[in-house]
Amino acid sequence: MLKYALKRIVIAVITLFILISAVFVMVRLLPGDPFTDPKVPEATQEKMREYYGLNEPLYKQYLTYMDNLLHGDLGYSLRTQGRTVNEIISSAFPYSIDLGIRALVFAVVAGLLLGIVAALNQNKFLDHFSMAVAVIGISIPSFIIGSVFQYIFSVKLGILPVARWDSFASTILPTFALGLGSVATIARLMRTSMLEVVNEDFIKTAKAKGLNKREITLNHQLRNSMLPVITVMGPMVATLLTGTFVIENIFAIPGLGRHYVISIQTLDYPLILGMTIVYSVFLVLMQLVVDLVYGLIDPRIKLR
Amino acid sequence: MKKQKIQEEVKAVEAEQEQTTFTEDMFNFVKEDESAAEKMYAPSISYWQDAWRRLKKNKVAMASMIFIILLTLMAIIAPMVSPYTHDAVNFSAMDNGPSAEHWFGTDNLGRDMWARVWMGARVSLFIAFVAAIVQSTVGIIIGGISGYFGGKVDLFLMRFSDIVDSIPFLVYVILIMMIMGSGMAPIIIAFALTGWIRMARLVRGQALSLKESDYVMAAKGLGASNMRIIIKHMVPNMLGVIIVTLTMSIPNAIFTEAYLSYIGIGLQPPLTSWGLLANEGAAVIKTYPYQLIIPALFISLTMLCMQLFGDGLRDALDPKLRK
Repeated sequence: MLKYALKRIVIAVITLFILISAVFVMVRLLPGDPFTDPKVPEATQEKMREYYGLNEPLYKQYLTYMDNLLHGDLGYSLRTQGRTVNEIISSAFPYSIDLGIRALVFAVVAGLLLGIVAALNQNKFLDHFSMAVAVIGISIPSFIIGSVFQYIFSVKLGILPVARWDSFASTILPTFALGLGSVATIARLMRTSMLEVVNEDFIKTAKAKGLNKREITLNHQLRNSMLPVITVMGPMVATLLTGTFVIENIFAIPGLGRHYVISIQTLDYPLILGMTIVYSVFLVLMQLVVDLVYGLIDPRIKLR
Repeated sequence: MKKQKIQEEVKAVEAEQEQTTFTEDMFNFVKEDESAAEKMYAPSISYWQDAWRRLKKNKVAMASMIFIILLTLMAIIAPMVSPYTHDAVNFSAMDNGPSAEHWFGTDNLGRDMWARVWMGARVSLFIAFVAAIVQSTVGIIIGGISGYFGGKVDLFLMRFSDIVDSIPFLVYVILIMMIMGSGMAPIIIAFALTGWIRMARLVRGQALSLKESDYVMAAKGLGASNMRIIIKHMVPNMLGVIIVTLTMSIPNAIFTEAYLSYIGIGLQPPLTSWGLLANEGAAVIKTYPYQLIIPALFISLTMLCMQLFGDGLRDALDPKLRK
């Protein structure tokens, strides 16, 4: 287990290092910089560049950036005066995380339920119904579900708040819109997995021991069917977190998504870099956690 | 007693022989009809015919396929025969609902939605198909090399793909967009850079198992080159799985293009795509909901049909994968 964990951690660290370096270089390769503006005198532009260290050689900027990064300092935003990137991110990221986690919990709970119900009623009405819901859930993009639900439930029926993120009621629509696609993925996966596990030898053994159906389903079938679902959790976190950008946009949630798009449009180097790094570190860590949890749950994985 | 009996028998045989006349052909071998053993009582069916037969039985998949074909044809033909162009502004007919004149209504600049939807279909479908093909090609090449050569090459390529995979898709898109500007090419390149991993892993797995097969060993024994073995023996045997994965990546590409255009970092006007149309429609959903619902319906239906067709294709091409 230790060797497996170490290997995963080393890969994660290397990934992050390459990622940060690559993003740094690519952002600096972009044509123009935040101070290129024909209305501003050349001398002022030059002064600004000097102030922010943009006229130094690239490798020197890189070393400075990495040094600061190791101290947890992501620098100043170039466009929003006097705000550090750390401030902007720490004020916005919690909203994105909150939305992401809610959607994940919703996806896992609803997805598992749908999948289990479908598998236990194989080829009956409930199975067809669950799988129809799943296929529809996969086919309709989250931003369309979001807009349509907003129109139906908030504008037309007026049951739920149209936008913002300040009460439980206001979180329902965004969570639902973001999570539905993942509900479908998990439901399909869980159904397949449940049906596969039924044919395993340990189920036969459990039956032979004389366990009743409920015990077999709960203790043997269900537990072992969960493994593939845990595998997809890593990529799913990434999908959900990416999805938050558009959902935040629809429901006017003050998360990271808006800052991301704006920072790209205004070439705010430190902000783009900082957000990309935070976002990627988060995803790589989540993937690492999923890998480690998977190693703990399924002892067979260590052998690989 | 015994002697008598034998003599009687001999006589009987002789009598019988006298009655028979011998002809030449009585001494020929009775040849077995070899062609009869080879005769097939049902017509011979190749792998592809068999798959087609199975696919035809799947009504849902066939309906989806017909829908996709119709959609593609309409995307090609409709903008050519429509009386309106997708970018012709008409200020006397702004935000008109669907009518006999404008089948899908008009948008906030009086542009005909019918023409815009089909123009958008052109762009969205083109990006989806090209992206799927490009990323699959890259994936097949990398996965094939990795699986076939194994060892250090494999280790390096798989670690490399792990790293590429752990960088969020959006980061690639944004970086490429920033360098190349917005347009169709950057989106397709971003797809190619990230989408190959799934295919590469799949092909690698297939290559690992196929390379142990007897016919590959035979080809090697006969001195076939690596390239020949890959092209002649491994690729045709993997084709089923490859096609299924390729089909499944198309809805994904449609979704991603729509997503990017929707949040405003994908295509930019005057280009149009379903994602952009949905974006424009979402802005006026409270007053003119049809402007969102029409493109949304197209995106969802296309993804649904692609998904169902992909499922059917998987069942038909690879019964082992059937779920």
